[in-house]
Amino acid sequence: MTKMNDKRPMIYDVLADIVGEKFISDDPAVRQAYSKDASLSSVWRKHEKDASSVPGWVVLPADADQVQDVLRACNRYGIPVVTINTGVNMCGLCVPMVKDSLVLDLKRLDKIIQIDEKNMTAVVQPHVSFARLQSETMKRGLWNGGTPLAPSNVGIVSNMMFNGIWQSALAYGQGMRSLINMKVVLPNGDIIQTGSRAMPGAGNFWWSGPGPCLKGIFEFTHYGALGIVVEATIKLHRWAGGEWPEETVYDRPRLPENHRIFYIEYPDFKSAESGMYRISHAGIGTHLNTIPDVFNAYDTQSTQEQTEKTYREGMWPKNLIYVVLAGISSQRQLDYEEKVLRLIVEETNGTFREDLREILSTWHGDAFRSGDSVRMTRHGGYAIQRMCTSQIETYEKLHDAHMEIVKKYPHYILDEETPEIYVYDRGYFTINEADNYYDQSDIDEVTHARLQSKEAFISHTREDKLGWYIHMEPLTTIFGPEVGPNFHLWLKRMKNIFDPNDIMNPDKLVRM
Amino acid sequence: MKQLEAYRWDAWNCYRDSMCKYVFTWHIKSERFARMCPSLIRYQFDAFCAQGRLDVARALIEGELEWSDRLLDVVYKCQLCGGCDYVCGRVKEIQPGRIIQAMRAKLVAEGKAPPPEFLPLMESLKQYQNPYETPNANRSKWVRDLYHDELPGDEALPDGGDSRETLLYVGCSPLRDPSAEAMPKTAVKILMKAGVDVGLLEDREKCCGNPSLRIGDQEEFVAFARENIQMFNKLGVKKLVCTCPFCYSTFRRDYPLVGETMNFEVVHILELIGELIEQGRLKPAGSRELNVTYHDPCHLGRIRSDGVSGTGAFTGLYDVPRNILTSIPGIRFVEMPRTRDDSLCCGAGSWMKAAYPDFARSTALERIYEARSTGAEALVTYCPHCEENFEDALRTSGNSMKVYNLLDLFLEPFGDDQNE
Repeated sequence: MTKMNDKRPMIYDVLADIVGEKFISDDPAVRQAYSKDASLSSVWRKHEKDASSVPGWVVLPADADQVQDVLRACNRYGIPVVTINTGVNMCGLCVPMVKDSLVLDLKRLDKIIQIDEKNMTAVVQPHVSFARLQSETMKRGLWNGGTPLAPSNVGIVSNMMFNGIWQSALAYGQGMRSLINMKVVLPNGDIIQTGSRAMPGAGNFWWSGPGPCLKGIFEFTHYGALGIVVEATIKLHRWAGGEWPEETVYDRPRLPENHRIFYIEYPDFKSAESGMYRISHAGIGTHLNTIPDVFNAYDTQSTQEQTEKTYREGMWPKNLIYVVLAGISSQRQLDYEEKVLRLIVEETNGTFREDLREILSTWHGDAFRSGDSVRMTRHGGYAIQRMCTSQIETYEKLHDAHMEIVKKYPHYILDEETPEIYVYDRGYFTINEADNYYDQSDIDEVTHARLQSKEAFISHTREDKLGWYIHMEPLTTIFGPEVGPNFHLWLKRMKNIFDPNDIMNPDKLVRM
Repeated sequence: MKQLEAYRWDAWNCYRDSMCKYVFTWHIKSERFARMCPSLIRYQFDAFCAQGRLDVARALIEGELEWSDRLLDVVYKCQLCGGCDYVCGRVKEIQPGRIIQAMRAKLVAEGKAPPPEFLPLMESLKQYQNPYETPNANRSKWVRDLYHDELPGDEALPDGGDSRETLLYVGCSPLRDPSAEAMPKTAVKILMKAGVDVGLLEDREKCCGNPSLRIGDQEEFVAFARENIQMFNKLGVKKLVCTCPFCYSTFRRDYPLVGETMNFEVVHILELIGELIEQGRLKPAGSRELNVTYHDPCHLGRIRSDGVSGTGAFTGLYDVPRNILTSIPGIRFVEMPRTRDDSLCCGAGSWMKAAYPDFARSTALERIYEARSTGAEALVTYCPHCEENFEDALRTSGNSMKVYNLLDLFLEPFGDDQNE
């Protein structure tokens, strides 16, 4: 029987024939750069010296044809494949679990293929980021509708596929819904086109196509385990902001034109909840979110020292929300929305904090094209302790449950007492998130963060049933018969159909 | 100076947010010109950007990675242009350039580096105290030429510096080739025109140590730094005026790490000239109708000091050169998409031309393409290394873009183009 080590030179040659010698590497130094991401699990594995996280090969295909050929070769030789796009991943999805995996880096698939101004869509390859797409669409009076509270250098397609958690979800819903259709290379090298793409000549404009919509299979939690999206069509919206404003004063970006931002403080979490409920149902605004005091401290301060100082001095109000209004049609629209907002805030006992407008002005940039928000990683790692989708009335229960965890596992530096809440779809539901900050180089802090996250997950989603936890791997090791009751079995069947040799991101979606 | 192991926290705590690969997100003006890391633009694997290099640093610190030729590529094929220092410094207080430099120092100390392509340059530093394999006595040549050929006989030349509190430090680039002598000559002519009294060290000048530091010979860099600091202190220098941005950045940003007391301030000649213009003591020699753009040399920009971490300010020398340029009547100035802190390196940083000329050239061509996209006819800059790299790339590319030294344009707007 031939062992993998014996086959390695031959496999290298096969792959080099496909992508070209320049775009494949099996060198340890190059491979090392693909062996860790921002996830707790990958940091833990590094401390454990788990060598399987270092891939055997890294390849950079130029186009869909090369992606197909690489996957066919991997099927032939039984090579596990892990796809990485911009690689900003908090779930370990871009790090191999199995020894001698191949990492497929999509960096060269980085083109904006089309911006259709009339029909308000963009067709992009996967490596196009939020910021890069925005830089082109905003010139044309359009944008994709938001930015995640992650660096907006992340790939827009992969972020949207993974839910699309962003700050302007009040108006534009989940990012996932802006993904109209896609072209996917399946693990066996076949291509599936979803929505109207599936009808030759029909165009890229519509979600549905002939028969059932297959898009959902590749969205959200397929975890890169069922195929590779090589092209996607994205919905665009009117952009009221004109030319993106220059940051002429460091850390004091200007709000884009025709936008207004309001910071509103509530005396307690319950009244904040009430205010958010009313605002979200009033049909005004584009952004409605709580900003934890920790986030404000991080986002607006240039150093960790300043962050901790202003946090400890209580500079950042708790129960603070922010609202952005966009004058998409006219100034009169803005005036009307502001009038409604002021009325609701008055009736719900909120206080406008005009004094914070200048101090918190990093949100003028980060609410639309996130950049400095990444400062929340300054303490080291940043672990999502909980990220739940839930209905709006569960705020309070979640908050109480969250505080129980915070008390039990106090953070090392900053306690995040106000969870971050993004209100979606005019208040239809929310995504709320609580995080902790830990030093990735310190095994004790890593262990602590893992325990805290695990307990939060069990508490919020399995015991208290307060929402749906979206950051775990693999799904089926966590969700067994209690989900579905046979959901995990269907996942296995589906994986078998799409990926009979289990080469795509093995162990991430389902343990076969 | 910090050893690689001192950066363990940084190496582990890279968040892999890819910010180091691109222009800072708020500043991206176009999809085409969004990428900022020259090394990643050319070599594409993540190992060739700060994020991947920090992974490599972590693995080296933890003893998980063995030495290889490709490891040398990863560590050395980088201009240390500071693009990642700006973005990562801004969001995370990490300065990857320092860590890459520490990796080089570790490899040199262990006898595994530098790559052979750097050896002639390193030898030259040892033998001649400059990187151009030229005797130090030649440092006086451009001064003699200036005196004999270009200045009226009755004008006094600056002397050897002993009696001057302000010293003009011109760096090694005039030793490179005759065309590189123009830069210090123009600087002296302008200062004399404004009546500014400066001294010159001529053949007593020696390298600032930038090549040793960047290539990883920390010991030699410290020796250069100590000797220079002691000499400047002994001469009673109060103000060290630099022409070469490499030297300027090295004096400002790196010398303080050596631990010697510096009894002098370090300024760049553009700062001085900017002040003279403001005071009305200098004005452009004439006008020139020209569409131009300006290339920010990294060493005058984001790496002239220790990044933005904690400063709450942009740190580069950005407005001064633009003000000098736009003070010339007829100049129509347009910015490139990647500018100021988000500027793309010319490609020559960290002595890439000496070791990896193809890499230096491809980066220059990318920058020239960007300059051309603005509609500019000419690319103006103020750095002997940027100028040389752009000129060399243009010579072999057939591109009609012209490259001008900012002060040449200020002093003689038509310069060598008199006959056009």
